Parts: sequence; C-alpha cells; structure tokens
Amino acid sequence: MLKIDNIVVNYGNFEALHGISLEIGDGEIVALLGGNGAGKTTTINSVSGMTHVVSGDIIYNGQSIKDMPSFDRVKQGIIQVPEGRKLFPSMTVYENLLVGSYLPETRKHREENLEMCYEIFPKLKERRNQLAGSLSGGEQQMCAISRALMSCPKLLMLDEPSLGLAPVVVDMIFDTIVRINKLGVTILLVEQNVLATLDIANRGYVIEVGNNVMNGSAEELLNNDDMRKAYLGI
Amino acid sequence: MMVLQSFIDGLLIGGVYATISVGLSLAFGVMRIINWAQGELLMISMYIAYAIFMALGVDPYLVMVLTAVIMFGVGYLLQNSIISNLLARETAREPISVLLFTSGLGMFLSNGVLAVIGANPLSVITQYSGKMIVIGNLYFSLPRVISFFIAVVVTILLYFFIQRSEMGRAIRATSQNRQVATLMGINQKKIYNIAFAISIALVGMSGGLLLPYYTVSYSIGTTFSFKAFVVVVLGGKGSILGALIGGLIVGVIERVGALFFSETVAQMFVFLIFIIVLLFKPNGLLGEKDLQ
Ligand SMILES: Nc1ncnc2c1ncn2[C@@H]1O[C@H](COP(=O)(O)OP(=O)(O)O)[C@@H](O)[C@H]1O
Ligand SMILES: [Mg+2]
Repeated sequence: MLKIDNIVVNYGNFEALHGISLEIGDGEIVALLGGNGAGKTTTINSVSGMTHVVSGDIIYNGQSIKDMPSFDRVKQGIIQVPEGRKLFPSMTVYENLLVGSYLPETRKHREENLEMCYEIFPKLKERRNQLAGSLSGGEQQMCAISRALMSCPKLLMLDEPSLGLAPVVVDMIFDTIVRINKLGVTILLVEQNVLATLDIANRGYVIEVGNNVMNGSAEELLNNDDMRKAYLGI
Repeated sequence: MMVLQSFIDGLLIGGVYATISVGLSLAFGVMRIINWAQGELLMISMYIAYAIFMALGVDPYLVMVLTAVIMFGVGYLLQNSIISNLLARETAREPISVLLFTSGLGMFLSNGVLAVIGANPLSVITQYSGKMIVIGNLYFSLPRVISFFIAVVVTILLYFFIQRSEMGRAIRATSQNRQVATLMGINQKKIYNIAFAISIALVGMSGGLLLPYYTVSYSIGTTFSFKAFVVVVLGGKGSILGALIGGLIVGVIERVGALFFSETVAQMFVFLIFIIVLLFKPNGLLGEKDLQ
C-alpha cells in the first residue's frame, strides 16, 4: 500500500532523515519505533506532505505522492493523528469531529462515522459539547483518533498515541487501534512504548538518528538481543 | 438630550468602524497578518463607489454591493498572488514581510490617488443625503441609520457564517492550527484567499456605506486604519463580535467626547482608551487568541 523509498528530509540545512525506507502492505499494522529525535515524526510528516523531501520517493498504491499537496493526500485516505493530539482547542469535541469530515467525499459519511466514533468512545458522546481544550489527556486522544476516523482513513498513521497516558488508558487505546485495523484500515503506529506496540503489530521498523537500523516481524524484534538491550532494558 | 443625540450618533458611525475593523480582525485571526492598508483600501473603495455611482446613477446601496464584490476580488487577488508568496517565504507565525508590504501598499494607494485624482475632496448627493429621521427632539441622518443597520446585520451574519458553516469551521480550524488543519484536507491557501477576500469585501462595503454622507479624499486612509486598530485591540484580536462592540464604543467616545470638548480632544480619548486596554486588558473585551 505504502512504500517509503530511501527518503532524505531536511529542515533548513539540517538533514533529519538520511535515507529512510519502509513498506506497509494492505491491512497490516506496522510499527515505527525509535527514541526521541530518531526521525519518526519527520517520517510520517513526509508521508502526509508536511516536510521537504530532498530525495527518494513515496509511493502510495503504486503512485508517487512525493509532490502531491498535503491536503490532496488526505483525499486519498492518508490520515494522521499527530503527536500530542493537537485538537482544535477552541472548538467543541463535536466541531473537531466535523472538521475531520471537512472534505465533501467524507462529509457524505459524516452521520455513520459520527455514530461509529460515539460507539467506540461513548465518553466522547457525553463530552461532545465541551471545548476540546478542556478534555483529559485520554479523552483528547480519543477525540484525535475519532477526528481521524471521520476522514475515512485507508492508511492511518498514529504518532505516539500512548504518550503521557495512564497504562489503563494506553491499553484501551491500543485495543481500539486493533479494532480499527479489523475494520480494514491499514495502520502505521509510531511509538516508543515498544512492548505494547509489538504486541499488536505484525511487523516493525526501528530507526535511529535518521537511519534504518532494524526491521522484522514483531516476534523477531521482540527476540532480538540488540533490541532487548536498547529498548526493553533486558 | 444633547448627550443622547451624540450617543446615538456615535453608535451610528460606530457601525461602519465595526465593519472596517471586523475585516482587520478576521485577517489577523486567520492569517496572523496586520493589514496596515485597511484604511487606504477603504479610501479606494469610496472612490470606486463614487465612480460607479457617477457612471450608473443607481441606488447607493446597490453601489455598495457592487463595490463589496469588486473589493472581494481585489482582496482575493492580493492574497493569492502577493501575500501568499510572502508568507511562503516566512516561517514566523506573525510574518514581518507582509506587514511591510501592506504599509507600503497603503502609501502607494494614497500617493497614487493624490497623483492621479488630486487632493480635492469628493462627495456625492444621493437620494438619501440630507434626509432625516425625527424622533421627538432627536434627529438622525437617514444614510447613517441605514449604514448602521447594514453594518450590524452583516457583522452578525459573518459571525454565524464563521461559527456554523463548513467553510467557517475550516477558517477557524486554520486559525487555531494551520498545520493540523492541512492534515484534515483543508487547503490553507484557499482558506487564506477567502478570509482575506472577505476582509477586503467588508472594507468595500464600508466604503459604499460611507459614500452618501462622508467626503472622500486621498488622505482619509490613515485615520480609518488607526481607528480600526484601536477597535480590534479593544474588542479582542480575532473576535468578530468584539470588533462590533469595539466599533460602537469608539464611535460613542468620539461623538460624546466631541460634545464636551472638541473633535481633536475626542480623538485623544480614543487613543487613551487604546493605551489603557493595551496595558490592562491586552486581550481586549471579548478577546481570546483564536478567531471567533
Ligand atoms: N521543525 C523542525 N525544525 C528543525 N529541526 C527539526 C524539526 N522537527 C524535528 N527536527 C529535528 O529532526 C530530528 C528528528 O525529529 P523527529 O522526527 O521529531 O523525531 P521523533 O519523532 O522520532 O522524536 C530531531 O533531531 C529534531 O530535532
Ligand atoms: Mg515525534
């Protein structure tokens, strides 16, 4: 479905990615792991069209999307849940969800998607008229995921959804990710919470300071010695 | 009675201050740019309204609509072809090059009018000019009353457009976080084009409203720009209803102040209010940081 082919990405003169490659098949859950500053956010922002890709290519369903404007990638079903939720704080939960279905194509499915979100996260229905800025961290993440679901994702990229959340909430969010995947949505899950992530992922990639360092099935990564030392402290 | 008369006169002129300022506040709320040429664009709008009125001789409020439509196009083109390119080169959230551009544009427009049309003030007599509404001992100029009602109604309609419509929500989303808005499939440049076009269309409308009772000359821009800044700061940057209330307050201060002192002293009061608000209520009366 998605192929990131050796991309180099710069911020000004600073090269953040030195050639990252990654592939995701239809219906998979793929993990993108790595420490702070490794380049995970930069990688998915490149898929969303928010960075300057200097070289390499990004192929989506057989077509290069490297030069496609970011809002057009959304039309193609490439949806991101950004790091730190980034809701529209001065809008209500309901309005945030409406913005998620801004595009005419997704607006047609607004009612059914809204119902699905409220069914997955009943809390959001209770809080629908509350300002998004006043939600708890977990509720904000539910709202951010729901906002993405309103956009009819085909490829859903989640940037550290577990960041700053209590373990119970993390479990609930990860269960939801599996549930969304079962609905037919391909998932790219960016995380630092390695154990929980590899528990639900089919495969994973590990990157460090802008380079690929490892990839394999979830099981291979979990049993890899370097991996266990570096990320699991075992 | 005199005070009441001045108070209402202030409200009437304040309506037009409001529509000019709402435009300024909208552009700031969405794009984080300050349009220093707002007053000069108003001046140009009045000349355009004057020209249309002279050429077609139609009702001044039809002239107002035409002027607003033309200025919508002007705003759209300015943002689509110039401001967007300046913004693309700047990473700062409140870009300085646009500030320089709009202040240069203001000077260009006033000097251009001076060079081409000259310094003579122009005014028109319309079928509304000089008509009065009399209530007891109070006299109200008909075109001012009409302009007040149009200004208030349009501002409130714009408020509901921003709050309730699909486009309005996209405009607010862009104002709150333009990167994330892009991730929702919102075309930021298109939103900026529309927001700026609306902003300048409001200026065009204001020019049409002023035409039947206000004399236009090349130099009126600065005064109106300044008043609009005061109104925006007073009402809260990015707040549409704040700009409406701020406009009415500034109008009242001017008129009532002029009754007790002089026009000049009243202007100083307006400036004083500006300073006080900046010092003690920097977010304005209804201000929040996001467009609303
Ligand atoms: N907007 C930016 N401007 C400059 N450098 C940035 C920017 N965003 C990220 N970086 C740098 O790029 C590198 C990768 O960052 P990022 O992709 O955010 O890593 P991660 O998401 O894995 O923590 C880091 O060194 C970071 O400092
Ligand atoms: Mg990150």
